[in-house]
Amino acid sequence: MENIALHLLDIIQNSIEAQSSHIAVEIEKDSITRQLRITVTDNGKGMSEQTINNALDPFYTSRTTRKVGMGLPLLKQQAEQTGGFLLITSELNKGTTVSFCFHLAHIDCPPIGDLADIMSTLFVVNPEINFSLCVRNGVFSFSCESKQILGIFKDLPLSQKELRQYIFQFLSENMNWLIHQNVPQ
Amino acid sequence: MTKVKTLDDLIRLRDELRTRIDLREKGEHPDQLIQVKVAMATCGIASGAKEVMDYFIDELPKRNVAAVVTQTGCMGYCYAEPTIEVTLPGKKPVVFGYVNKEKADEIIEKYIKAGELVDGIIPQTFKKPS
Repeated sequence: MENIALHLLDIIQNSIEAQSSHIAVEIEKDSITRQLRITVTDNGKGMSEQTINNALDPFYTSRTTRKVGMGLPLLKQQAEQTGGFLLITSELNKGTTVSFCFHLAHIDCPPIGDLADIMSTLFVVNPEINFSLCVRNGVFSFSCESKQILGIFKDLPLSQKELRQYIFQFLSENMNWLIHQNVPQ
Repeated sequence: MTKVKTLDDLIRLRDELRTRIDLREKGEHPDQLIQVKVAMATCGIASGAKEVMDYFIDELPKRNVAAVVTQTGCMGYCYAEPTIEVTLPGKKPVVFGYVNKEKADEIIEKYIKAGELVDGIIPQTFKKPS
């Protein structure tokens, strides 16, 4: 993928397909080690231990439409190429947690991409899912919940475009400095 | 544009909008809305489906088309990504492949607005193995 934000979109898409009603996204920028750690926790249908082991195999997929599932193995490869990692834990009928880490200073690290754009689009296009977003950098953090934000606009007949624009402004104003700056600890 | 930083800012913005906006009817009839579903699995995202979804979200209201854009998972047509499924009210869903911005523009003008069929439709001959 072109950037880390698109990988996050892919992982969240997995959570959506697992029929989650709640998806927690934690983004942590570690200014000291120059790492970006992202954890996605959902309450979807989960996986058995066997399935977790198979998930990282590109030739394994739970879909019936095709025979390969590339998202997780590709992300693992990209993360590990920078010295990072990918971890999956899951419990059937409880949910799944996917955690990955990129070393931003590594020469093979892709650009971060626009995380606020990805999150604002997800909020608006999946109004029935509650996303809780938390962005951290040292002692500073920002948190919000998609249903709370969408609830502010519920009486207005706004188009998806306008809704996304306002939520994007709100998210990028709060998130971008946390993600892109090296904040003194 | 004033900065939107806190929740209070968002609430203030909402109040401003309330006084300016004139009510549109689309919210009243969900079955009259056109549905555009963009496939966003790994193959879709890697081929640029996000830009296509953004294009539909931006252009449809500009051209006064009452539609809802959503994302779905893999529809199985990975060779033709980005793919979209358009459901006009009362009609069967139609899947389009190789959708880039030019194609999306053509789909909006010809299929969505005028009901004319466009090149690049993927026929629904795929049968899911049971």
